[in-house]
Amino acid sequence: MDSAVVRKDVIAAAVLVAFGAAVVAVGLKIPLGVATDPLGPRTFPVALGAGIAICGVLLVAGMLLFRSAPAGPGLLGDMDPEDEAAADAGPFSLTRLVGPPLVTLVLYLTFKYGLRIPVPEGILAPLLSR
Amino acid sequence: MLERFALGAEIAFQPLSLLMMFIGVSWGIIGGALPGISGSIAMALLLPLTFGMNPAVALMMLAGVYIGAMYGGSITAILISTPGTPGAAATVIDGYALHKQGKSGKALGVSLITGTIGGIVSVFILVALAVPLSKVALAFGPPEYFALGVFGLALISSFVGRDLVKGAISAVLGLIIATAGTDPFSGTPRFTFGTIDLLSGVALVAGMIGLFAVSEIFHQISEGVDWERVRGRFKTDLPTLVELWKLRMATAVGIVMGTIEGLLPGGGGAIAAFISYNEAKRWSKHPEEFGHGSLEGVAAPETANNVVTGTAMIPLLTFGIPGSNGAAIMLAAMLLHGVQPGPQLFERTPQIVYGLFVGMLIANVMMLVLGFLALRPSIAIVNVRPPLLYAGILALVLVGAYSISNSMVEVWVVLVTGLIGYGMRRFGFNILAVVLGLVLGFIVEANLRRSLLISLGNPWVFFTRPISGLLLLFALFTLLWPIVRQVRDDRRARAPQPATPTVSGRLHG
Repeated sequence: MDSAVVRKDVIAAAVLVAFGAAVVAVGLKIPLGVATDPLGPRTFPVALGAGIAICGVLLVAGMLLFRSAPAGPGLLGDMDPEDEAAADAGPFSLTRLVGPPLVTLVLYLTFKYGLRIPVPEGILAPLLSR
Repeated sequence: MLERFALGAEIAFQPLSLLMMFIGVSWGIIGGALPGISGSIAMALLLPLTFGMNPAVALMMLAGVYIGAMYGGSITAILISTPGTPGAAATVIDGYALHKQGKSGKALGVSLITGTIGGIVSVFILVALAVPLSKVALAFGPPEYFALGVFGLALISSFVGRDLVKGAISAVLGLIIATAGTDPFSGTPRFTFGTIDLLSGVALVAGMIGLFAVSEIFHQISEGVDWERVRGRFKTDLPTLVELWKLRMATAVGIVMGTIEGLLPGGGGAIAAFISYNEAKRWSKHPEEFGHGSLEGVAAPETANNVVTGTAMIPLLTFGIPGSNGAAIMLAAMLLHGVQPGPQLFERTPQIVYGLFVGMLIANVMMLVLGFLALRPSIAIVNVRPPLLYAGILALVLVGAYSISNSMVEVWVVLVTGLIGYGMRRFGFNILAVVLGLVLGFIVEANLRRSLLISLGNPWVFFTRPISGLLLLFALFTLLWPIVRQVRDDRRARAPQPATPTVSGRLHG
């Protein structure tokens, strides 16, 4: 891996861990809030601060674990051969067209008929009421 | 619905609305032509000037900027192989090749006419999908809005930029910035450091201008970005009906791809343009011409990135989640004018929504006319030296920031967020994810807490409701997929390569 990239990522990780720790430290001074509010005003900022510090650690960990692999494909191409083959299948490949609607349908049926939880039908209401 | 369109048309055809759209489209074409000044930055520059306008007129003007910029970006893409906007990056491939063959006028004409077709079709798709979707959105409760916010952030983190962790960090940073201010539930100040100015939080408009526009300008200055000057005189040359008929497949592909990518948060014009370029090449009868001056290679991406202008508004208007950078600026404009996006928008303020629909149709037609007239001024501006240009733009930005509330606080916010955004760009982080985090921060936290209040602290509420469960499942898949692929790539890279027979081995075989 390019040493300049490694150095940038290490610096970024250090800054992020420090920033995250600072957010947690300041966040812990926020009052807890009322008993009826399960999270209160403190929890979300503290969780985010901890999250960003953890992400800083993950940044370095990912760099060490995946140093032999190139970076993932970017926005504008650089696809690996398998992905190129998948892309060559076009937007109308079976997986891309059928997958998400199939998952949605399975979940809809599971909730409506399996778990018996009311499901809002929205735009399908006129069709389903016939 | 017809009465609502009539209401929208009544506002859109007023002289002030037409004038503002004219200014918006003109500025969009000129601003979009400038390399590095994308449509969203052109919109951000005009945003503070809309303060005090009727909200419907302000949104129509900004939509005009967005639409105009899509064509403007193709001018420099074709003439100097430098895209003015990210969406025009795919147009460079065949557009510049056509320019070298002396067919610049035809390339500009194809870009203009197919872009207009794409833009007009996108408005019809917007109307066809947004209105029914708003009825589905009425079924959304706090858990669904929380899940939708998480899904949007997961999509942006995973699919924009090369690094999932950096994308996630960017999104979380935006969420952290959004927590500054007064807690909406308890009124407790958070991260205000005792200053009154931060009690209402980090100004969203100023933050977006800093992150999008100022950071980009700092980045271009530090990189010493310069571009070739446009030499010679050019004239836009519309394609004949026969030529347009031959481009029907490329245009259709652009419409489909632009629709799909525009609907996804973070999709945007650039992705739509490249995907439609690749698909148009696959479906073309003459794929060998792509890359060497094919008009289809200009038509497909230009149609796609203009379709995105309409379809990116669908998640914005129905759910309040912007589908692109430009839609994010539209969201900031709505909030600035006290307009809350979401399903209630269609019921409470139909004149704004339907005015926007009609206004976008008018703006696309204006683009067709102004595309001819604005070519020379665009080229003149592009030929200005970058130092002068950036100085002028920065001055505009800071004056605009001050005019938001006649306070220096917004100016400081613009500068600080501009520096933060510049630093993030240098280290390879994702600015759009930060902006989306900033925009969605309130929605995500408020709906999370509301959901837990309603369910008396039971976190399973997110998974026992089908829509929120489904969205969280998709979000999880979106976050896990890049990791799975990275692990697979790493294993492949570490696997010993099979030995290949040497030439001498074969000869002696």
